[in-house]
Amino acid sequence: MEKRASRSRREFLKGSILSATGALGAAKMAAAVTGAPEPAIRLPEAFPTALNTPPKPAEFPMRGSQVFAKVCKNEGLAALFCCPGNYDVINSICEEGIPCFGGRTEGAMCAAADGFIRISGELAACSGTEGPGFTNMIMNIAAANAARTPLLVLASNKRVSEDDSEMGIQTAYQQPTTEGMRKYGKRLIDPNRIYEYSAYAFRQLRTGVPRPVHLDFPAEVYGAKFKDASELRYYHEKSKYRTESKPYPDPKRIRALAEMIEQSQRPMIVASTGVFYSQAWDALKQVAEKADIAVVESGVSRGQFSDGHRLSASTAPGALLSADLVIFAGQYSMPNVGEYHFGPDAQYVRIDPDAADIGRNMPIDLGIVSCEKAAMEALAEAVSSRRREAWVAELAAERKKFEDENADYYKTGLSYKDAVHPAVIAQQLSDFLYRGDLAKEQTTVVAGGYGIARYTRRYLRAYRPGQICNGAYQYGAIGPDCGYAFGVSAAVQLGAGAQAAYRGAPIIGITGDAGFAYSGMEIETMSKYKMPVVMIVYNNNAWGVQGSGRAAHMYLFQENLRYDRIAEALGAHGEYVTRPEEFLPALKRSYQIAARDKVSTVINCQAKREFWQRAQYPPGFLGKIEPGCMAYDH
Amino acid sequence: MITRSATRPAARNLSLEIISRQLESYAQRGVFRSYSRNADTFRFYWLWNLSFHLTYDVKQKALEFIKLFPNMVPGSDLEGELKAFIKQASSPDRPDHRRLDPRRLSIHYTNRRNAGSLKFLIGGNHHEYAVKQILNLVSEIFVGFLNVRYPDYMSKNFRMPEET
Repeated sequence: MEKRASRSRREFLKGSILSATGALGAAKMAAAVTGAPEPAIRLPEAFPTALNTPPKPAEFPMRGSQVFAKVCKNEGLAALFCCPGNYDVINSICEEGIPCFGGRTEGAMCAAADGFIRISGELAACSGTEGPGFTNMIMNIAAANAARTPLLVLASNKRVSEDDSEMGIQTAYQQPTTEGMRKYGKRLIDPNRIYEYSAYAFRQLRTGVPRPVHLDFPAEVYGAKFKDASELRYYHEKSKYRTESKPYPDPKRIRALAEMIEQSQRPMIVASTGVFYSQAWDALKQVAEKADIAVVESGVSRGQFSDGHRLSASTAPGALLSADLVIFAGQYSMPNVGEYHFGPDAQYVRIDPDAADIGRNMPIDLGIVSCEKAAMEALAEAVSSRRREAWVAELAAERKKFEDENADYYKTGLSYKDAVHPAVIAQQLSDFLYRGDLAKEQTTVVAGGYGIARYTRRYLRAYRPGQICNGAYQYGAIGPDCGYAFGVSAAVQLGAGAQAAYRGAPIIGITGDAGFAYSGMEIETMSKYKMPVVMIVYNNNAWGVQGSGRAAHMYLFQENLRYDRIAEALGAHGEYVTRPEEFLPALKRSYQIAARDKVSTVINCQAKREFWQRAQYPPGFLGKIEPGCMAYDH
Repeated sequence: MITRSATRPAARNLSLEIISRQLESYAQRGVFRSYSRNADTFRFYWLWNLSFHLTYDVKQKALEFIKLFPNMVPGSDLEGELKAFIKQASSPDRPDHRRLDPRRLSIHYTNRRNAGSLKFLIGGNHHEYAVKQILNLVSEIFVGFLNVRYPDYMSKNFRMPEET
């Protein structure tokens, strides 16, 4: 209140107007108050004109970039996220009619493509210029690699004929840079093999355990001219260069697993990334329901098994220790002993398409090499029908215990009146999304941030595949959140893959003030493309980890920074929330603006760094239990 | 005829062997990363590759993790919650399969020089039961209690990364 009282009336009026209206109108009204002419933020006419220009797919004669773009189209590449650079390639992809988006940094566009894939299950690409644009993507390529995302990374790369000469600018050796953070990479050198290597790329992206694929294009390749197909090698239809066939499970091993389930009192399936990408959710549900097997989720996205199901253990962390048989399905990032909350007597089964990974980190009692969907379908046939009433009751009791604990945190959080506690944000967001006017399956959420995520993950729910994008999954990067939000919103606007039924709906993104700094400029990209994103920024004036003594300054920001005003200045709407009772009204306004006007919002939630101190502000910084709704290490 | 005094060493050895076999089975299954035994002392790496040190006192029929909890300030909130957490292991509120039977195994927490230890007294000949329950409880304490409620304690005392 002191802060407010100290502001001049003119400042107060200006601030009120700015936060109460859309940014386009706000500029005009602010100008009226200050008397200074201030031009409105607006899109250049060329922008909608370009978006409305029909595609012009290439025909022979074609350049190398067009040949590549045509492969992308034929392979169903669902979107491209880029910044200028690698011009021939991105322009050719755009001309093929593939949805393309241009953002403010290559890094955030890389995250956007990753986010798009994580919640749609469709393939997407990112692109940047040779040296700087490519290296700007590095953190997010690594994050995509850790998340096992089938991300296509593209970049231009000068000329082969100028190798090592440092002629001009932007020289970089790209392939060694992505070594260790990709599944496959290639600098294309021979123009005649561009189609062949495009096939290599999609073969890797479409089969087995996914990871990024990195192609870099020297000018000799993207600019090469081909009169007809005879000038290209291995110019085949895609069924000739890759197969849709999946590895099917050994029937003996499926029978052995069915027997283990029969012997088990409290079986549990860990449904992870591979269940999502193989679209095994229906078969998973069939298996679980047939034999009363609990299902807990982990992985890059959530919702392959509904949190609302009686067999869900994703919000029943207390039940994990009771499981006597644990079946990992598509758990590509394997935890080590202790990282998952299973007891020392549990038996472990792993279902994975990659035999070479089975047995890594966690001991197995049975390994099954298989596509997750094929394994679930086979298991649904093999497993005996059985009711496990005591186990189902235990799951329900543990879910209730968890909800009661969350309710206690909320009650405590509400009692802190001078700033917005994370439990307040988490509970009220949860109420708004799942217990209000919206269908609980509707809204896709990017669960990002660091400390705030320790709370929001506990309260967010997933009722259908791809409903939650698990931001910091495995790599732990908090910076890509606004990038993820842009890509997730693009997928929802397009109705891509798993988002088809929710096409056009607003999405929610969550990040912290530290994370916002890395990709906050993409609020401008959201505004430009009219993406209905409500971005919640938890602003505690500091990094998530705190320093002490002489080192403390390195962990601190200025206090009361106005990320909402940054949003307004970038063409979005801004909300500033400083007290608990202000959050829900701000959320409702933001959602309405997003749904009605397709305008994004940043809700700047003013918190305090002391909220992580347990002694001062219980419950303080929260730990977590994995797998389940809190999981992001694995 | 076997005299009473003659049976004692054999019985002692038997209980030690049962415990050893039971612990070794966890190593064979891959639950422990490594395992070694020196007479009545067992060392193993387990749970985030932490080093555990378990001793067996044959006379007392007691298994003990000495200094399991370093830097445990007596009377602190953490210690209070830890004691309560340990106490609820035999609570009737827990499911049967996770409830510790105090007739077969009792738990004693002590704090000497800011280091908490856990001693388990085995009732009757329930050595296999004891090992199983002890490992389950210690796992629960570390993964389900300390890691959740006191992640700062875990990072300071067990080299757990601060950001996970």
